[in-house]
Amino acid sequence: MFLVSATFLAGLILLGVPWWLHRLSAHASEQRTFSSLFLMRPSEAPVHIRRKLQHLWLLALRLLLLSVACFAFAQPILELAGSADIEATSVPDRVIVLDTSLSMNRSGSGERAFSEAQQIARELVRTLPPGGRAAVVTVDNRIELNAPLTDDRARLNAAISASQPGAARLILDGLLGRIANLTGTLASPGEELEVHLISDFQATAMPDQFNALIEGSIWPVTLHAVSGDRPNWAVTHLALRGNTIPSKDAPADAIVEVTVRGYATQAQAVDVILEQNGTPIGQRNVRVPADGTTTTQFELPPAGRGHITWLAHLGINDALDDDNTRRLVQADREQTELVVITTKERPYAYLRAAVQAAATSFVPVMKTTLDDLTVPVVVVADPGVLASGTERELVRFLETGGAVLLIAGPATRAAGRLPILDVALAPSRFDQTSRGIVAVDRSHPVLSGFAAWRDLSVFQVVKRAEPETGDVILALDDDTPLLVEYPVGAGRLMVLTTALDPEWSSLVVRPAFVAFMANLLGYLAEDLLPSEALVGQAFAIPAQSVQLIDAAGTRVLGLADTVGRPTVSVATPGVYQLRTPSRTRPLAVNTDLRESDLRRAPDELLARWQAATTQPSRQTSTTFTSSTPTSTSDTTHHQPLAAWLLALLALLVFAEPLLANNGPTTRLPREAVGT
Amino acid sequence: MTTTTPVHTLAPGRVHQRLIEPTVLAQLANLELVARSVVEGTLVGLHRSPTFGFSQEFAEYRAYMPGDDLRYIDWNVYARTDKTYIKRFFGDTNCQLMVLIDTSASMDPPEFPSPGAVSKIDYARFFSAALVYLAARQHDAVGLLAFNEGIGLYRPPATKAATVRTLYHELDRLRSTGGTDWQKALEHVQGRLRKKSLLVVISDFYTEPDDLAQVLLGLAARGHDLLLVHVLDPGERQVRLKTAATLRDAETGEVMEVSPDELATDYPDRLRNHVEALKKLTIGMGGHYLQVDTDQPLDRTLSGYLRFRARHP
Repeated sequence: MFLVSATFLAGLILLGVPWWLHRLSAHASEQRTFSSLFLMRPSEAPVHIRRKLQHLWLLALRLLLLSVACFAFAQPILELAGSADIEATSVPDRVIVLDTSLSMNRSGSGERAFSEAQQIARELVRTLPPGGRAAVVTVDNRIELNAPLTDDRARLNAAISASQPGAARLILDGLLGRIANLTGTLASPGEELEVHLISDFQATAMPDQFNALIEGSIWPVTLHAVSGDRPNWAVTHLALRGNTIPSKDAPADAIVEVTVRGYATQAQAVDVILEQNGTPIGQRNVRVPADGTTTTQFELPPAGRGHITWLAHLGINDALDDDNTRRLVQADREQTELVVITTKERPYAYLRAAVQAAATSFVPVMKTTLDDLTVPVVVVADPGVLASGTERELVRFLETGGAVLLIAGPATRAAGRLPILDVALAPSRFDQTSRGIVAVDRSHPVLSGFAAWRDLSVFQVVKRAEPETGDVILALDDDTPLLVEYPVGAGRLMVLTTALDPEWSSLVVRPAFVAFMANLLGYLAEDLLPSEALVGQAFAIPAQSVQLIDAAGTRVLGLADTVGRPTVSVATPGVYQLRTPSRTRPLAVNTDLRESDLRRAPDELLARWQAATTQPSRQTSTTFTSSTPTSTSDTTHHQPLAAWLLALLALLVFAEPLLANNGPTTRLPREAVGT
Repeated sequence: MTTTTPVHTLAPGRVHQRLIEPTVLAQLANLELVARSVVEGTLVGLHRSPTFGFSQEFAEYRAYMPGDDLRYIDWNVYARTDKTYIKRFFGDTNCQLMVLIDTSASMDPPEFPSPGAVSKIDYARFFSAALVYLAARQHDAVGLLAFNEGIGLYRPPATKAATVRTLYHELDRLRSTGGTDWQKALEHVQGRLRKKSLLVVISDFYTEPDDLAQVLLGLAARGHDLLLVHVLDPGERQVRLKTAATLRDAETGEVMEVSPDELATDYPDRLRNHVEALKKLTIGMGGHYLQVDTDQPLDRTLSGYLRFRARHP
């Protein structure tokens, strides 16, 4: 008979009968409901306690009686394991985690820190017990599995040898949680793992709160620290000040500032070399104080137009090479023509005022046709008046990678059609009720720096007759689109559904309009491309398609990373080229300065971390047991239990009336209790 | 329900009538009206922040000086007067507010509220509605999580007016039932809030402070600002019994016999120690603790919250 048998389960329902009877008894006493008994302590009145205990004993006896009756008639059989059965034990597998951050590339006393880490890892592989398995994982800003759990020592050693430190930063905050997530896919249920973390444990990598070090840890962790502090110098700051392009009003007075810092160093003189577009143009010998900072300046000759790349590097042989060079890109600020196609002076005046007030590189020019397809952005104010030839030119301009901003107006509404997209507009009327503005896509670069749209009101918009198909960036609070982006060919089309007119919206008379237009035009002209980044740091590129080319001319982004305002990160420092359909701009990628300070975290902190991760909650043992799980015997003995249960049942049937008749006492009046 | 209080006593802008009893607010059927009455009443009489910023609320004109941001030059004035002025504005905030309400059975036991007070769940709903209204007024994103032993309701932070109106309806429908699972509730929030937020947790906190610390630490570690609003009924602070009684826990159903002597002497000390432990725990995590009674005017509670916001902009 199985325990899920209907008759057996029906018998168990009988257990509810005494339970219900005892609850009836409990209801006889007066009760009051209180929020929580969390802070309450029971009364010490003895009469209540004794009576309650006797009732519970009786209830337990009755429940036991019924349970035994049910089990006895179910005729259970006890399955006993054979005598050869011994406790099965498992071997904890080792997960060897190697820190491959920039600081592990340090050298000193003739040996790299990472070589020392590799030696520790190989020793862990060598000391594996027979049949024991291990995995090799590397961590910096990412975590990678270099060798899965295996007992193939040659494969493990090859994975250790193939691992090399990069230029990214390791953050210890939450690292054990990330390792646990990765190893969770390695171990089968019931398998035990132990983690060996080999790192330099930089003080700068430690989180503010200790809990972040152990958060998410589910396996025992052993910390292995490689050799200690090394003195190191780094270029911590490279900045350009003043004007590099002379004009009639402003002569060239540019200065390049270079700051050098020593970490755990003695006072020493260091050569600082400055390069402009790959050509050395200056050298200084500066004295860096012990564990301190010094700044030097280079006066520069006038430079030509175009993007300029600056490099400052140190002529010193220290622990880390990568942080001895710092790069800076000076973006070209050449003025660009902004074609505004309109026949009305009013929207053009608002647009011109905003562009000039925002100090952008655009020079607005009012035109009625598009005769130059080399400009990056064209603004069409009230496009209902567009001639068909101009509209065709704009479509061609867009398909070849241009950007167009369509701003609605009375003529657009009267025409009942949105040019370029060739979609019908719904009939609309002047509405005295103003609408608020809601940011739909807060992450969009156009809205960068705009936290609130309070006090902006829109009175009139044009609205598509069909449902919206573009990406809505701004909308009214009744969900009517206000700013919509459409990809057209290789280019981008933005549609602002209200006019640059105070009778249509209050946008043009608010200060936010200036920054909004600067962002909008900058985005369309791809002027918002970043010019600097850190190794391993993810950064967004506000362009619909982009390619990233390294100094050797190799593309470093995968196909999936190149479309739709991608977020990318770069693994090695250097000067890269960001290419969009209409722009190319250099990108300076530097190392994270927190990797330059090679001082280790205090030993007390590491000891506390080690102690906290030796016995995580899920683990019971951190030591190896036997090499293989011991097999269990397949010999079993079947022992019927019915006879024993019937004997127990007879005993309980005899005991129940004895306890019921002699045990419980008469309940005393409630008022007499505790008084 | 019959109301004995004239409606005009709730009109905003009447400083001398600012402190509105919770029982009066409970007579208003519209939760949004409750929120507006409390918030507008509280804000009247407060001194405006002297911090100027470039947001939307105009403060004054000032002549342009070298170093000022060119974007804030008022070109309309420049066009008329040929002089450059910049417009200055009062600073505003833009943060993300998440309100967590405990809707376990302990928030509304059958024999409460005490005379002159509202139930804890009603007080929590009113206060939450006031926070939602205040956040919407400041264009802050606001979200809501109602929990007991499970997640009853979760609305991620949003600024849309329609979403905010939905929150009033959701708050209106909240009922207290079941037990409390702090870990589930706070892990639910922790897993979904990516942006640093201000978390306002409204509960009667009948739980071990150490257990609570374990789950709150994760939120504090992620940089969220915490405000614990500890709601108590006056009848819970001083339990008066003439004779020994059997008390039943509203959440767990546990039954306990208690004596009036113990409730008069030891229980207040334990409650005081519990409150102190919660306060110490919250301050230790960089948060803020606010203990309120359900007969306390909501305006006063909201003022406490605003003081907290002033320290955590």
